[in-house]
Amino acid sequence: MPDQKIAAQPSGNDTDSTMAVTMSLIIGRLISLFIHETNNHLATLRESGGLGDDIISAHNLSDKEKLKELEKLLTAMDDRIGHAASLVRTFGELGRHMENPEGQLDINKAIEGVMPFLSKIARQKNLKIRTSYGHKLPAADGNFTGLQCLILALFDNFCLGLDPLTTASITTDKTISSVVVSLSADHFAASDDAKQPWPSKPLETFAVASGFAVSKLQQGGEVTISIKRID
Amino acid sequence: MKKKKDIKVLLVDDEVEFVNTLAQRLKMRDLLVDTVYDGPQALDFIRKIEPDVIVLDLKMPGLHGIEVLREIKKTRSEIQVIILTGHGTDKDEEEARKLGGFDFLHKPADIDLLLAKIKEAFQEKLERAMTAIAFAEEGIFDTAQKIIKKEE
Repeated sequence: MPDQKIAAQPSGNDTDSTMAVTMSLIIGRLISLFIHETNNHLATLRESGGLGDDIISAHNLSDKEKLKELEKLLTAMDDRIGHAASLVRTFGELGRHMENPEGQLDINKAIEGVMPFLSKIARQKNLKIRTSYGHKLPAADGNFTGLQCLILALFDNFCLGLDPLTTASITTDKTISSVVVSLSADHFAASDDAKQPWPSKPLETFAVASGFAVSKLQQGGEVTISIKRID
Repeated sequence: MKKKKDIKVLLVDDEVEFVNTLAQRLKMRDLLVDTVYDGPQALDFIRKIEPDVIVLDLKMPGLHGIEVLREIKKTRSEIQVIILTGHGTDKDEEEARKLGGFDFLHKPADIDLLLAKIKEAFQEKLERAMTAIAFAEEGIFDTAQKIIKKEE
C-alpha cells in the first residue's frame, strides 16, 4: 500500500472543537491508564503489608525462615513503592508539560515521558515493546505535549491491529530535514478494529494542528507509522 | 455445613505478585486457594476442578473479565464470581451484575471485606444447592438456572 499522507487541513472553529474533544479523549485515556496502574501497585502493597502483619501475628519471629520471608516481602514492597513513585513522577511531568505545551522538542524525552503508559497498553494486549532511540537528534521548538498525546493515541490504535506476542517497535531517527518517530511491527493483522479508517479524522486534525504529519506505510504484514514535525 | 477450610477459591488476575500474596493471606485464613493469571487459564481450570467462588480481575490480556464471567455463567452457573478490579467502570459493574456476578469490589480492597464477601458468596451457593435439592425431592429440578416442573 502506498504511503498515505495526511491531507486534511481543517481550520477555525472546527479544528478547535476537534482538538478539544480529541485532547480530552487522550487525557481521559491517560488518567484511566494511570489509575489502573496505581491501583494495582496499591493493591499489591496493601496485600504485602497485610501478609507481613499476618506473619508477625501468626509466628514466632525467632523463626529464621519466617524472618527471611518477611525480609523478602519488605524488599518487594520497597521495589513496588519505587515503581509507583516513578509512575506518579511521570504523570506529574506530563501535567507540567500540559501547563506549558510549547518548548524544546526532544523527541526521545517525549517518548520516555509516556513510556509507562505505552508499556501498560502493550501489556494489556499481551504485546512486547522494543525501543530504539536515535542519538544526538536535533532539538527544535514545538508542541511537546501534542507530540506525547499523538504518540499515545497512535500507539493505542496501532496495537489494535497486532496479534498477541507481536513485538511493537518504537524508533526515533533523524532525516535530512526533520526528526521522525516510527511505530512498526511485522505481524499486522486486519482485525475488525484495525479496519476502521486510520488514523481517524479527528486524530489527523489533532496531528496537523499540533504541528505534525503522520504517514502510514504497509508492505505485506509489516506496518510502519511515522510522525514527523511540520516545519 | 462446610467448614471454612472447605471453601475452594480461585483467584484470577494477571498481576502475579498481587495474586500470589493475596492467595497466601487467604490460605492463612483457612481457605483453599488456587491462582491463575488470565481468562483462558481460568476457563481451563473450571473444566477440571470446581471452585466455590472465583475472584476475578477485569482487565487482563487475552480475554476481558466480563467475557470470562459470561462463559463461567454459561457453563458453570453454580460457581459464584466476585469481581475485584483496579479500574472498573459503572458500566462494567452493571454488566457484571446482569451476568450474575455476586459482587463488584475495587482494588485495593480490605482483606476482611473480601473474606466476608467470599463467605457470603459461598453461603449463597450452598443455599441455592439446598433449594435445588428440595425442589428435586418435590418433583421439581434445577438445570442451568431454570427451575422446571416435572410432568405428572
